[in-house]
Formats: sequence, structure tokens, C-alpha cells
Amino acid sequence: MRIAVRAFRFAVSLAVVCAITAFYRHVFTANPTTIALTFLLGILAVSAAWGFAVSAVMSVASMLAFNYFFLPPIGKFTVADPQNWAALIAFLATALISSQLSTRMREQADEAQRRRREAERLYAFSRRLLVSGNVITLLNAIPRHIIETFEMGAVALYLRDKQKFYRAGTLANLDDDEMRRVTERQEPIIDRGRNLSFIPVTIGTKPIGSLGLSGQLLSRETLDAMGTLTGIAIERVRAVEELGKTEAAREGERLKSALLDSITHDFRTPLTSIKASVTSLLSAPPSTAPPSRELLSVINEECDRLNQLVGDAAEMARLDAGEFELEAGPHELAAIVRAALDQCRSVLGDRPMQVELPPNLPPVMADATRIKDVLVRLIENADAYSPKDRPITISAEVSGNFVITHVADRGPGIEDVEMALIFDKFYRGRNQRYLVQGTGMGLPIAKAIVEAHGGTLGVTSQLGHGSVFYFTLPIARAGATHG
Amino acid sequence: MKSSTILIIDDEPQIRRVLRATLTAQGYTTIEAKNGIEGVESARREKPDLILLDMNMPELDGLATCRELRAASAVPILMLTVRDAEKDKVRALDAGADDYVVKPFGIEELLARIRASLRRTSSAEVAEVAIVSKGLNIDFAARTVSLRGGKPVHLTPKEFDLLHVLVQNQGKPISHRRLLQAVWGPDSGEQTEYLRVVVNQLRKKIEKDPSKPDLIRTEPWVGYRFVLPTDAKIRNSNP
Repeated sequence: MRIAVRAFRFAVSLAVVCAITAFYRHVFTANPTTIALTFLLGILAVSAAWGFAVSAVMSVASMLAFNYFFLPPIGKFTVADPQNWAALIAFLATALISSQLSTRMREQADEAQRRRREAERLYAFSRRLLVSGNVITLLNAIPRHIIETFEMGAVALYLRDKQKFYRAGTLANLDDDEMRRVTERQEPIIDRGRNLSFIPVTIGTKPIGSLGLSGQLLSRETLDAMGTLTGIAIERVRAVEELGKTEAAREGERLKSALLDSITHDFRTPLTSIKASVTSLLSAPPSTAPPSRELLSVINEECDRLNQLVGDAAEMARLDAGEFELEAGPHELAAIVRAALDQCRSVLGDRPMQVELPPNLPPVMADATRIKDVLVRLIENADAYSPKDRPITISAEVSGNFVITHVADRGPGIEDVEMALIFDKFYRGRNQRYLVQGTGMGLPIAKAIVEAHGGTLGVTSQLGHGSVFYFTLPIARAGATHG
Repeated sequence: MKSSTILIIDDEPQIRRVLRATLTAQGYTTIEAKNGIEGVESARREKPDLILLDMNMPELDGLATCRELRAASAVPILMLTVRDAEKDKVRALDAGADDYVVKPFGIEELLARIRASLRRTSSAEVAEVAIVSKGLNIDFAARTVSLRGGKPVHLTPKEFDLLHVLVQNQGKPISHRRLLQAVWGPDSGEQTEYLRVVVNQLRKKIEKDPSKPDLIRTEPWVGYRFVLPTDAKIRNSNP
């Protein structure tokens, strides 16, 4: 390929010499000075375009043609007038010097052009490095970025602390040992024969790895810049990631300690009642025996409360950790409501209950046990926060792809400021806290379960008229199976 | 003997239940309030002999309630606090509480504190001039102290002043700040190390075993509490 191109260039330059000769021989007669200048013009053009080698050959050919065809005696290579010797030598010297100068100028222009392109590519490369978010993506992306921006055949990145290679491209002649060696020596290796370059990747003076490039040679400056850019990019992403981790850890700790505060308070309250009751029973002399039934029933109730707290805390932790599985399948809402009401019977006692489910309600996609738990919590909640003689209404309707279930009470309602808070862990209604026994975890747990189903749980309330808690569940599509 | 009336201010119904049952069985009359506002109201109306006040309540919290109560009367206030909250104890004392009991508490301890607080109020109006017991005798008028068998003890003026403040408030925890201000003057209050030195010297002079003090007890992070020997008799100026 290259030889053919060279041959073509020689042929063209010789053709130019022939053309000039023929022109002045047959078309137009001019004095030797004009002819010599025309030859020089051709030589300059060729040397600017194709370099010194071609133009040197052309210079010699022009000199011979000039001598043979235009200097007397014409038709012979001998020179009659010694003065013409000087002219011939001057011609050759001028041709060679000017073609060398023009070649060098062209090379410099080319070099400048190449540098400019490399600088542009480095800039594009550095911008790509900034986009990558985390260390793993970045490390995998760097070789690809280099291939794409610098038009390389293959690129490998080696990281010393991980002892890992990240590669991209088609040719795989980037030797592992070579890359390790470059990292340790911190000196680039440029193998012109095989078109390979190996450069250290450093942060300041600290080597962190190396890059191996194949397919094209770049200037030493560009290679150095590439190594430094890569090092900085890796370091930057690592720092950002580290920062994120510390931030997340700190936030986690803060949450944990808030949770712990809440839990200790909630656990200590029943413990205080139990301890006071027990010590009272233990220490009282028979004469001043306190009503032991009362104290024993406090102990009993508070033990239940502790048990519920432990259960809810464990459930909440499981939900938080995402460690629970839904056994979702198509279920009739009516059956779930019945099961929930069964479970609540002892709590509800004589409370009037209204269930208003439309007969043609489609089945919902749900984990029946979990949704029953949600309903139980909502029913118990409604029971705890509304007067015993007011009815609780359970109703449902279809809305788009979902079934909405409502649990409505006729209690005092919830103030706007509290609406968002009641789904927070451990929150209990401000004015209700001293009236109602609860763990404060019921609603958050119910919300988490519904959300795991892809639904939402919310509340609307009117002060003085009552609250409606509702949740949505996706309708089970025909053909959906259990499991 | 007329039964003392105790006002219980606590937002937890179960704790009120236990306290009601136990205190009634002990012969006290109880009144209950389920929050600070009701408590202040009830204290004003019923004039109880002692108030049990929970530290952690919604709305008006224990400390604020304590300040309100203290502004209106000198009734003994016993705060119910939680463990690991030493700052709260100091704040409770600063807010005017006479004593505190840490939850979860044994009922014996609570009853003992109640008895101590009630006893103090019945003798509060008279200035103590002397403490007489087998192991320790103090004559405040003569500023003399003697131990078992009448062996005299020499106390420095600071030591005697400190002992005086402690004995005057016997049975009650007194914060570092109050002790410092009482003995070193109102501008003191931060230099707890002075106090520690003087307390240690005092213990060496009057305690049977200074490393396990019986009389001057440490209230960790809060201050000190003087506990009278069980056989002590207090002689007042107008017996």
C-alpha cells in the first residue's frame, strides 16, 4: 500500500518534469531562466505536498532535463559554456534547499495540527472521565473512552492496588508484565515497531497503575497528560464515593440512635410499671397489702405490651432491611376482611361494624396474611381512637387498576400537622398518647406492607367527624396464578 | 395521723395505676393528673402534701411543670426521671425539685424518698441546732463536731459550712452548683474540683470508712446527698 503510494508520487513528479519539458519544447519557447523557474515551482509544490524524498528525485530529474533539452548543446548532457555549469549547479542547489525548507514547514504544520488534535482529544477524554459516577463504572469505561476519543485499536488499564486489568478493543498484545513494569518504573515505554505505548498512571508522584495503548502512537506529552488525567479521575471518583459512604454511614447512625431512643423509652415505660408493681407486691407487709389483683393485672397487661413491642420492632426491622417476602396471589378482598374481623373480635367487643363491599369486586393481587395484618392494624387503630359506640365502616371500590379499601371511624379526626407524622415510627397522636396503649409502630408497618404490594396507604380526616384510612392493592389480572 | 395527699402527674396510665394502688395501700390519699397543665391546676386546687412528677411528658414537660409548681408553692416535688440522663437530674434540681427517683424504680425506694420528703417539710420551719447520734454529734451553734465516744473533730471553716448545708438538706440530693454557691459564694458554681477536695477531707474526718461513705453519699454527675445515721436525733432551737 505504502510502496504503491510512493511509486505513484514518484511517477507523478516525473510526469510533471516531462510535461514542463514538452510544454517549453513544443508549445511555447522561453529563455532558460523562465524554464528553470518553472521547474523550481513544480519542485516546490511537490515537496510541500509529498516531502523531501520525492522532491529530491524530481530536482535531479529536472536538472537533467534542463541540461539535455534547454542548455546548448541541446540533445546532449554535455555543457558547452562553463557559465552554464554554474547555472545548473545553482539550479540543483536551489531546488534541493527550497524543497527541504518547504518539507520542514509542512512537517511543522502537520505536527502543530496533530498536537491540536491530541489536545482536543485529551479535553474530550477528560470531560468523559468527569461523567462517570462510581469507581467500578469508571474503571471499566476508561479503556473504552480512550479507544473512542484517540482512535486506538486496544487499550488496557492496570490498577496496582487491585491487581486488576481492565481492557477494551480488539487487539490483545498488551502484555500484563509490561504494564506492571511500567507502573513500578514510572517511565513510559514507547514501542514504535509494534505501535505500542505503555504509560504510568500516577497521582502526584505516587504510581497507582498503568495504561497500555495499541494502534496509534501519540506524543509523549499527550501520553503523560493521559496518565495524569486517568489518575486524577480515579482518585476523584474514589474520594466522592468515600464521602458518600461516610455521609450515608453518619445518616444511618443518626437514624439508629433516634430509633434506639424511641425504643428505650417505649420499653422502659412498661418495665417501670412492672417493676413498681412487683416490688410493691414483694415488699408490702401483710397489713398494708396493696390490692394485689390490680397490680397483677397491670403486670399482665404490660407484659403483653412488651411482647407486642418486641414483635413490632422485629417486624419493622425486617421491613426496613427489606428482608421479607410476599406470597402474593389473587385473593377475594371479602375473605381477607372476614379474617381480619375474626381476629379483631375480642378487641372490638360490642362495637358496631359496617362492611360495605360491592359484590362484583375483582380479586386483588396480595399476600393475604400480610394484608389481613394491615386491616387488623387499621381496625384496631380505628377502635382505639374513636368512642366505643360509634361504628367503624369498611368499604371498597375499584379505581383504575387498583382496589381501594377504606377503614372509616367516627372519632375526633386528625389535625393536619399530624397527618404526615402518624406514619412515622413511634408516633402516637398528641392528645391520644395518654389514652391509648400502642407501640406507635402499627401504621408504619402497615404502610410498608402495602407499599411492598405496589400500593399506597394514606389517610383523610375531618376534625370532629372522623378519619378514613385507605390503601390500594393492584387488581389480579385474569390468568395470574397463585405463588 | 392525718394521711398525706400525694399528687401523681404522669402521662402513662399504667404507672398511675400502680402508684395509686400502692400509695393508697400505704395510707396515702392520691390525686392524679395526666399532664403538666392538669397537674399545675390540680396542685393549686387540692394543695397536696407532695407531688410525684414525671420528667417526660408531652405538652408541658416535667421541667416546665416543676418550675410552674415551684413558683406557686413550696410543696416537695419528687421527679421521676430515666436512667442515663444525669443532665436531666441536675436540671430537675435546678428547676426546684427536691429529689428524684430513676425509672424503673423499686417501690421501697420510692416510698422511702416520699417519707423523707414529707418528714423534711414537717420540720422545715425550725432551724436545726444539733444532731445527736452514737457515731456523730454536731452542734451548729458552737460549730463543733465529735465522733463516737465524744472524740472531737477539727473542721476547717469551709468543711464546716459544707457539712452544715448538707445536713440542712439531709436526705436530699444537692447539686454541685448549689453546694459551691452556698459555701464559696454566688459567683462560684463551676469549680467542682474544689468541692471534691473538701468533700474528701470531710469524709476522712467524719466517715467510719472514707472509701465507702455512709453519711456523705455521691450522686453521680449530680452532687451529694447527706444521709443521717439511723439513730440520729435532731434537736431544734424550739423543741
